[in-house]
Amino acid sequence: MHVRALVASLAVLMLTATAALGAAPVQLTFTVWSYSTDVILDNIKKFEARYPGIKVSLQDFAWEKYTDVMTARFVGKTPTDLAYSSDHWLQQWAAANWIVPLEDYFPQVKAYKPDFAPYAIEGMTYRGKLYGLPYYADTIIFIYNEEMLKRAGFTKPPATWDEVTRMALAMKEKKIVEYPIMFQFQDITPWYIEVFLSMVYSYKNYQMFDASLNPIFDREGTAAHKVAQWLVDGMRKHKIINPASLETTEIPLVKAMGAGQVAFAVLPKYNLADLNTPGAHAQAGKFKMALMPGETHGTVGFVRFYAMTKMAADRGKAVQDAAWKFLEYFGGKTDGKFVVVKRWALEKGLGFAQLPLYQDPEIRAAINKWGNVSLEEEQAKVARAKEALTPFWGTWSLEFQKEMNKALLGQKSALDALKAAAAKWKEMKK
Amino acid sequence: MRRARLLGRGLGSLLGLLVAAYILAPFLWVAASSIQPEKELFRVPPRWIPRVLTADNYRFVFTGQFPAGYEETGIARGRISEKARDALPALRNSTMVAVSVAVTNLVLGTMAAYTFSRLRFRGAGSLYTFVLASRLLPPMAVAIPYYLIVNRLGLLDRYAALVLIHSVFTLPFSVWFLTLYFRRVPPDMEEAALVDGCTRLQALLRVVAPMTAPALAATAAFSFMFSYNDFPFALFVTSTIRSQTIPVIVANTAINPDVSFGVVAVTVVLTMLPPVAFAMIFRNYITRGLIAVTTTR
Repeated sequence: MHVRALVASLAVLMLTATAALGAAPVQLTFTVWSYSTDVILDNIKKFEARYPGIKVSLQDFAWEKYTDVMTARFVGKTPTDLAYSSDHWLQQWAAANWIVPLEDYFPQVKAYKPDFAPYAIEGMTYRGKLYGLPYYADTIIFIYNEEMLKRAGFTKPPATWDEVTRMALAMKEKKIVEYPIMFQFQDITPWYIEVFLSMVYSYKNYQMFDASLNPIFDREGTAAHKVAQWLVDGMRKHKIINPASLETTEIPLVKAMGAGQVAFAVLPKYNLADLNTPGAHAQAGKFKMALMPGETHGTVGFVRFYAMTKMAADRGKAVQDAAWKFLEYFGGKTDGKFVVVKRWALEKGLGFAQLPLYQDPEIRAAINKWGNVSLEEEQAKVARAKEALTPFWGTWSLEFQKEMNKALLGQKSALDALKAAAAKWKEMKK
Repeated sequence: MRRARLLGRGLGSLLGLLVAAYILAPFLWVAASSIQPEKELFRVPPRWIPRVLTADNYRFVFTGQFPAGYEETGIARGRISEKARDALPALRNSTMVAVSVAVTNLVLGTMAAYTFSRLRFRGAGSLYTFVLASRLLPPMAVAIPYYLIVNRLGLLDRYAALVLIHSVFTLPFSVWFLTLYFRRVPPDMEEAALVDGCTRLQALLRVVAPMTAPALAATAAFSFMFSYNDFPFALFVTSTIRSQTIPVIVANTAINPDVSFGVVAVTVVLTMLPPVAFAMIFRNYITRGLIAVTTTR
């Protein structure tokens, strides 16, 4: 009897094994914007080696067209299982049901929350539910050219916006640089609003909206008004902000700074690693970060994350299980470690939302070669996610930027520009 | 008199040189940028004649070896856009697609144009107007419908998707252009061929086509260049290097936060090579064909 049972069990086991071995692998389609696709492909290769039953097909698109392409894919139901997403688009994508809350399918994802920076959790949360695991997260920081500052007679970076003005005027006077400050204020770049908000969040009363999402930033004396007026004065009165800022985007600004044409800039932190690359910039090695000048040194923290699509969720349990393995491998832990996130930090200098990584000696040593890990950690602690992220936020931000540029061009006052932007918000909110 | 003529000729040459310099300057600037280290490109004031030359940018695109100074940051990998390394397969994709579009235009465009120019049939006028009118549609107006059609056909990320879309946009011009040219060709010789037992297709291939070679070359050049330069459709319907074309790769490289403009310049130089080669080979035909059609009434 025992022998029969044993033979039967072995037969069942063999059949199961044969079926498992013979089963077609689960195919996942993963869309990304084109950044270091060779690293992504290598990560995919390692993931597939770990999970032989899963195959991942990578598709990449230009960053600036990514949302357009993804919208076409979602509307056209082009097979897409996993995708890079961003706090900018979360509301729109989630409201349209293009991506799904991870918590509904993988309750275990909640265990990761204590590891993540609060601004990153906020940036991945819609209607109280977590929609992703972080690919990378970073802060907008204040970068300065230390040598220029020293030549102007200063030993410490500015701690307030008034000090920024004072130091910039000194540099201008000593003819160290004609326009010490430059921004990426071309009105179509998504970084414009992030930079503006970073400056706003450096004040105590930074709120742009009330609890009902009504704009309050257009009132006299608000943080937004102070920042807008500071920018207008810097460009039109003191002439310390380069007028070319209105036509500048991220890359030209970084190149100009690297060439020694800019002393102060507000940029996403990862640019500091690029600026200190000797092969790329004449001034490499001279760039440092400072806490965002202002009353609280607050700034914007942003997150880019891995999301699972509704299409993947609808494909059934096997695909969902494979998707979770993928999400956890790329944005979570493998054998108790954030392997992929750490790789991005070490190899490309990308920031991270996974706070335990700040304790990793390898990470600390790597960041200190081009930046300042303690300062970075300090800045991350006072970073906050963007307020009032609504499905129309992206469209509104473009309107805001156009209005703000009218003030910088002297066509209207800073307050009038804010009032016009607030009117646009109210119109869109209806 | 002779002096005035010489002066006039000299002024003409000078003007020609100025126009040539105006046209060629951006290309020369890009070519010069491709052989300089990144730091040199942003020197203030800029150097019009490069002093430091390097093959590093080309070496990176062809072999993946990082240019000097890119691995000294402390980051395990230099911050430089690796997307540029897809330039070579993208060039192959672009050329394959553009040649296919040119061939499609030659085959279908020639037959359609010959039909419109020689045969009388019901609705010919309306059909001809419809073909021409379809040319007036702004491409982006049909981008999403085309995407959905291509998706439904299962052709996303395939050469065929681009060949289909580009042919739809180029064929109306090709048909119009060739129809005008065919109308200039006297029908006597074809008629003689038909009397001698040729079919219409044989008459077209053996008699008309050789006589209209310049127009066919111009048609091929026009459709090749349209396809080769297309960015928006290539961006939407391609998603991997299996079918991504060179404009997509150049754009992806150029807007990358890790961009090296020297490396971008290499991709631009490589991009220019196939169309320049095409133009050099067929330039006489193209010029003759365009002149003939533009002087036709």
